[in-house]
Amino acid sequence: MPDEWEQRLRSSLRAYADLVDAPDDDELPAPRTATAPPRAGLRGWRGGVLAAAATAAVASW
Amino acid sequence: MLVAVSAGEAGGVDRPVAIGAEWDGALIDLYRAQRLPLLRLAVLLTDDPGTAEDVVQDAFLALQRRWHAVDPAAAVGYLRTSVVNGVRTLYRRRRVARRHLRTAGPEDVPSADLAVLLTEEHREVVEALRTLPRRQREVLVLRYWSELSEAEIAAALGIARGTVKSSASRGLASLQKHLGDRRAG
Repeated sequence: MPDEWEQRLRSSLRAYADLVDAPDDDELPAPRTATAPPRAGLRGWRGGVLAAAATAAVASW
Repeated sequence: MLVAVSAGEAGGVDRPVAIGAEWDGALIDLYRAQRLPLLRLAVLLTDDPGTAEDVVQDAFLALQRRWHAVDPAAAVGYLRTSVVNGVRTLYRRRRVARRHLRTAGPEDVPSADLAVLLTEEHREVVEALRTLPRRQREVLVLRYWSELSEAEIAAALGIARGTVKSSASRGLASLQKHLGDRRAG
């Protein structure tokens, strides 16, 4: 039943994508400087979501 | 007010830089409208919100540099292709670095897995998706999340429509097998 699998995949992809909230900043990107590495710090939405994910991981371990 | 920050600054210390005239109103509107969907697309392809954010920022910077030459109607497609290519480039660089260094760099440390927040039913599907070859995963994400046609996926990935069709078919079959085996096991 391909349709059933397609629907399941669609539903799971939506659920996964919905975990990513809108960034809470409103900043335009600017080029990285030669000395600056890619962003590694947790900022705004990302910090909150990842903290929740880490908590859930620990709780389910 | 919109402020430009360097995509390369770590540690949450953002230094505003001058935007000047290079970010016109239409591009800013596009950024506001497309940033989140592109971020979600990049997470579906990388499983890593930090990497996804960098890839999306780079895609907008690339568009901004070529803004005068890009048809506004094609701008979303341009961004989508930039994100897919950005993810590929990133992973290619990491593979090369791993081969040469034979050690894990800071960027190889996995971040917290967002998928642990999903219900078990959805998490199983996401975990199965991660086992697929890169192209099959790209095709399935663009087909079943971005809801693109075969022709649009072919254009985004730079492959033939027949390849899109066969990759989607093989990817779905692999997912079914993987999930079926899990259930049986």
